[in-house]
Amino acid sequence: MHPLLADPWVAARIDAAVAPYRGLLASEDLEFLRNELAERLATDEHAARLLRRAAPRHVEQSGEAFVGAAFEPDEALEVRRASGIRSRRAGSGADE
Amino acid sequence: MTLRVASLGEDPAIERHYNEGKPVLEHVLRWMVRRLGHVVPIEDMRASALEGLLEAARTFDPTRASLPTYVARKVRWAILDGIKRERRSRRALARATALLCAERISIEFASAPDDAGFSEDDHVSTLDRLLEAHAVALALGLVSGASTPEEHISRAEMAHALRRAIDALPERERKLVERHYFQGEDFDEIAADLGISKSWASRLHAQAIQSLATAIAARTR
Repeated sequence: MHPLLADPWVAARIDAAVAPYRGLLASEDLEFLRNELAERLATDEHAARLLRRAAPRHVEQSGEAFVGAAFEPDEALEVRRASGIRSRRAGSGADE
Repeated sequence: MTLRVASLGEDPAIERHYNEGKPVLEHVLRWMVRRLGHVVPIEDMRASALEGLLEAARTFDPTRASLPTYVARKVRWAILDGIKRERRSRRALARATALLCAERISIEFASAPDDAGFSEDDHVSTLDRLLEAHAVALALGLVSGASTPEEHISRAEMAHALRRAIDALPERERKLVERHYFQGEDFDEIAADLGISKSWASRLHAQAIQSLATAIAARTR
């Protein structure tokens, strides 16, 4: 599974895009679609920029925030680096 | 390790681009092996990848893209085009065709105007539309690249749904999609025949893909 799919918000968007194909494509094709859409978000410049702007930023008490909190530390770091989703300090107001 | 490559000629910039692009080539090769389900051995793709790297080294323009981005795109395209052209692995053909469709959409959408001033909801909506467009491009590739009887059978319902959506497209978009995906004609040829420029054909293609995405997405709304 592509590491970006471990992020519930990203996975939900991808699953919504794949939903019309359930019942039309075999499960291995559906999995190929899910992984490939995640790969596009991670590696395509336009798609990655759009994801950075669209993804909600969760502000935690510590002030560290990022999409992908469900990952193991190493994996989360890799995914955030790949997709360009950044941390945001509480109250910084910084968007990008 | 850096290499001197006779076919690069005497331009030191080209040779530098080539050598700097080699790690990118290796990364793309490994990525492609995974994406194609380990069906095509990595060494079988290397010849096409090297052609792509040579082309990238010769044509790189630093004002338009970074070298890694440009090399990755050229190498990916060369590998997929090689698999499609040589049909060395029928099982990889459908996925290679699907990835080529997604590449084309990425290139066409990359020139879309910047949307930095949009609200967060607008960005989410644009992201959803982008994912829908990529999903339909991938599905179109899987269907049109199906080459074994098993693939044709397992994707028959998808092919039927896509055919109905394609039939509802405006005439020029329909012709473009049918001729490119189902008759294997390239964009230059179709554009010349329709009396339009290649860039206009690309815009028509992007519109067609978006319309197909909307039509397929409507099935679950």
